[in-house]
Amino acid sequence: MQITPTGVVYFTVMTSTFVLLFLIVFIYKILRLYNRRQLEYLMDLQLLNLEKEKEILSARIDVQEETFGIVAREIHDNINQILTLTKLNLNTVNFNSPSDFKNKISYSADLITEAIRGLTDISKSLNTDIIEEIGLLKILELEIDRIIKAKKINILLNHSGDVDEIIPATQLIIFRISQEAIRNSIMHGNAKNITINIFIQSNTLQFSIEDDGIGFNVNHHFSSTRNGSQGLTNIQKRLKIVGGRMEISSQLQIGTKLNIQIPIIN
Amino acid sequence: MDFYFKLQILQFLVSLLTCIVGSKLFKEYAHNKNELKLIFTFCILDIVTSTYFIILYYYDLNNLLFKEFQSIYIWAEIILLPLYINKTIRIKHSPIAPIVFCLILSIISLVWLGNTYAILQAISGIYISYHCFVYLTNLFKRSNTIDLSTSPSFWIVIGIITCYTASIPACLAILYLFIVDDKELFSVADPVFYYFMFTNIIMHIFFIKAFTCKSHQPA
Repeated sequence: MQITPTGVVYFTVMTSTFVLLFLIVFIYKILRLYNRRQLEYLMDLQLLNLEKEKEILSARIDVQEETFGIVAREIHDNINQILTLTKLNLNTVNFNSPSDFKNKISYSADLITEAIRGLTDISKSLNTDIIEEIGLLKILELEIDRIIKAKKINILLNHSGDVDEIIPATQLIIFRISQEAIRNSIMHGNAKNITINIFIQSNTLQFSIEDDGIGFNVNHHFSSTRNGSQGLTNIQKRLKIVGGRMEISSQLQIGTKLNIQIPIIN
Repeated sequence: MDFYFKLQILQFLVSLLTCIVGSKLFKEYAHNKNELKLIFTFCILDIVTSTYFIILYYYDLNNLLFKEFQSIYIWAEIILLPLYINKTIRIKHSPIAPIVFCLILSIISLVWLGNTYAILQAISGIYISYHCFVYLTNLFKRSNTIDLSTSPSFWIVIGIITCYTASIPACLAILYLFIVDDKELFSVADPVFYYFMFTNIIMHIFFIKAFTCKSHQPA
């Protein structure tokens, strides 16, 4: 077959035009397919976000429930005892003996003052606005003072960086974690000395609590489901809310160290 | 002024516009500046080449150094464009491989057809198109998605596909002309060159679109 010059040119131009048209259709199809994929991806992302929000909400509810439990326990174990004692004291007042009357009224007044102080402490530790007003470090110092007076133990607080510049919601979580960790060290660890370190390093809040308590077997602790391990579970739940993570190391009769890292969102 | 000259002028102007738009918006490309430098270099080379071809035609210099310029241009596109595409999709791509590829094809072309670019030009379209399709495949392989309408790399790749994939038949036809070496065929082959210039202009229009994307998100 004879190939004519014009034939070659026509063939080339026609083939090229066909390829160009094919490309236009191809690109259009690619765009449509990609858009559909993008929609699916966004929907998946939304679903994931919803699930995450649900998880966070559930964690918040758990934390709230647990806080109510602590308040109830504190009122029952402390305030209730003091007020019961006050009532008993007042019931046994001998109105005929002025000295006994005076002593018991004075003692009752002291007990009521103690109960009021206890209620004020609970109120302070529950009031989230106070964090915004005075900052995490100050409220932590007040809490430490309160514990030192009540439990006769040593608590040392080291800090560096603008901790009070962190958003109040995160500060509150850190405060609650500190409360929980200190309570664990005292109640379960029988610690006599506790060191708290708070510092900021490359947009991460590094927080650690170290004690000289009896320690525990970390692996056994996390594998068991007994109620006594609720404290660390609560800390984990709180950390989930702020996207933090926790590492724990413990040696029997030497002590426990809890390391926490929380990303800072300004 | 004949049609070829008009097209050449148009190609020069569009290339110049691409460079002006690109240089004006260059500082906004903080995250993919290095990748876009490759495209920018390619556009500047396009201006230089089309300027040279206009001078050749205008002063009737009888294709002085035409072959050399053509070879440099094809070498540049084979080295720069796949390098850009691979950089945007974070695939390791050594420039050594295309250099060796160009060198071997240039030698074969020189020995067989008497010029260094005929085979290279025919193969360049296929080679660059392959990389463009790797880019498109990569878009669908990724776990996350990007907004294509505001992705500069997407529009650049679409421009490259339009120019190089659509030019494959034209490039193969030019290779055929060199192989048969028929003077009569060369005399009627102008539409093939027009077509190549036309797709080149379209590619630059896509580049302008890429440079003017509202948000410059990563590829």
